[in-house]
Amino acid sequence: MSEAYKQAYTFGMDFGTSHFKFGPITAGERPEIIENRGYFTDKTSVMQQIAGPVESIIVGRDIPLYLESREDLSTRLVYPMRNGIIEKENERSWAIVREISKYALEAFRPSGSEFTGYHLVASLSSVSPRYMYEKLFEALRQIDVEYGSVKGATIIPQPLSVAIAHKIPTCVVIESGHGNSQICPISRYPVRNAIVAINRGGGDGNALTAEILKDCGYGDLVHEESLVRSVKENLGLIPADLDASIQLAKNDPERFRAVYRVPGTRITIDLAENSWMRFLIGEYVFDPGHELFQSYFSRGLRKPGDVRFGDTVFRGMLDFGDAIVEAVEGCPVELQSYLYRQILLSGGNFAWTLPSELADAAVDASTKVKLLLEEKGIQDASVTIAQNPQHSVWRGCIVYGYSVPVDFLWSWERFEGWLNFR
Amino acid sequence: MAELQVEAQQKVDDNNVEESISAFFTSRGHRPLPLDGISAEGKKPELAFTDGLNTTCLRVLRKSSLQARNKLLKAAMDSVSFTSTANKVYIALPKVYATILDAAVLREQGLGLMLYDERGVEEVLPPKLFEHRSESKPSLEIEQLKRRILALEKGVETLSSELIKIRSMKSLQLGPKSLEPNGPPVVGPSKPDLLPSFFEGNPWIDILSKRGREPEQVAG
Repeated sequence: MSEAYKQAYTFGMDFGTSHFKFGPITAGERPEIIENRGYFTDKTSVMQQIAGPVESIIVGRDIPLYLESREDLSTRLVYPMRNGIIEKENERSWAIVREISKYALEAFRPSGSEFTGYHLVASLSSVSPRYMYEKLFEALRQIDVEYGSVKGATIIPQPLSVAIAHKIPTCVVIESGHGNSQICPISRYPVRNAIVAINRGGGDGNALTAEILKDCGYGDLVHEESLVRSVKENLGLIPADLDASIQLAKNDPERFRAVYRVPGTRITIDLAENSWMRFLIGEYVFDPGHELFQSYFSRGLRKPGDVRFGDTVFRGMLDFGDAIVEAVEGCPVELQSYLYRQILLSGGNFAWTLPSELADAAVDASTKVKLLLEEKGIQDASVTIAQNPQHSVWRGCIVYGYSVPVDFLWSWERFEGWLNFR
Repeated sequence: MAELQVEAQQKVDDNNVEESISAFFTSRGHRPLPLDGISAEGKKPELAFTDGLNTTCLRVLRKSSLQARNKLLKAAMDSVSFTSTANKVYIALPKVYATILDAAVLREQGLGLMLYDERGVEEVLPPKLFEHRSESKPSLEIEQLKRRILALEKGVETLSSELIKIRSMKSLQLGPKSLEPNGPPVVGPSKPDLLPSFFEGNPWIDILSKRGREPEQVAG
């Protein structure tokens, strides 16, 4: 098996919580992106009887063409990695993973006769238990048996991919997605026993936004998750200091007034005298420990609790500052100061807008993390937000596949290397 | 313009009308066509010819078959359906019936008219030419496109294999390097011109290319 062949046919797959990014090395700077979801068709529906048989699972851009009644969408439209983890016995989700992988590989099947299969690098959450590796390898092996499109595969943690894409060998990567967040120190390898997982992500910010909308008289809109997310992204602000920012907003309500017109509709959301609440949204994502949130918990907002997936405990209420300190302190002492110098924030949960006219009260995600670390006594931390967060994991996969020698074989002790199917 | 021609080699009647009409067309460079491929709406003409370019269909009506009053009208209507597959369509009928047929109606429908009697066969109204040779035209275009796609695919294959060769040559030009004197050779990953920008100056390429060639150092 030649190194040149592997380099020419390296393929990357990033199983994100919301989106699936994929493509071969020849795709260039950007991968293809589709939603990481699958739709189970209703074999008994009248439309299917008329239109003829279709695949039982639909993935990719054609999904909207098959969506039927809105009532059963929640059972038929499945996001397998919504929480970063798939339970071992969740056969529906694993079926989607198989289908979506097949879709990606067939979308880029080369026509040349010299093609005998890709060297595939898939990226999963850093807290994925061993069975997820085993199940994904098995799915890829099945695809190779059926289509001959995967010569060998490897799986790497998403934070390692981010570090590779950003060309930083020693750093702490904080990957925060829809359902959870992972803090992963990296020093040429992911420091696996120092990883800290948080059971809190963009979805929790959405949940609090929904409660705020209810309080402000927009309870009828909170059932549309995409709308709530838009409100969060457009009105939510990260406070430098929650109490001080709220005081500023209450003293000058007109300057902080939060109004959002939903594009393409007649809906306008105006938080009016409650506009100070926009700071709660940003604070909650980074630090849910403030006493103000207690009233929301007591009124029914799901309090992020500690949960166990595989061998990993996902902490619910840990703030990002404490989480970083805990992760770094799990590493050798002489490495710790280097890690604080390169903290990389990655994932959609760190993409917050910062209106320049409110810069006296609101900050961006990197400043907030820096402030949280200063509270813990870490003064010289350098925190940056990853560029191109949507593409960076895939890019890391491509560099990894291109560089790691083809004869470096998979080891279940190291969790790296190539698992060659042929 | 009516082309008045008479075939008078033999006496034409119900028994030999088709033979006479065939002689009329073959003498003009047409050849008979099998009727199987010419049916329209489940009906077949009595005769069909081609001159290599156009297809001509004929609905031949005999004196014996025109006893019923509406038979002629029905035959005319049937003939119209053939215009969907043939380029020219004629109705051929005994000359005595010509007086009860309004040629203007046939002209309006684009049908031609041939009359026969004991003196022979004559074309009294030429048909309109219906252009649906286009059916074969797209298939010709599709064939041409298929050939071009095949040629392009071959071109891409050639380019792709050449690219692999160039990459291997670049790797070899860098020379094998080994961490240990007798260790396995490490192919130093190069950055071919076509690699994406995130490869440029990326220290991980060197780090990762040494995986398996260096002392075990798993962090964590």
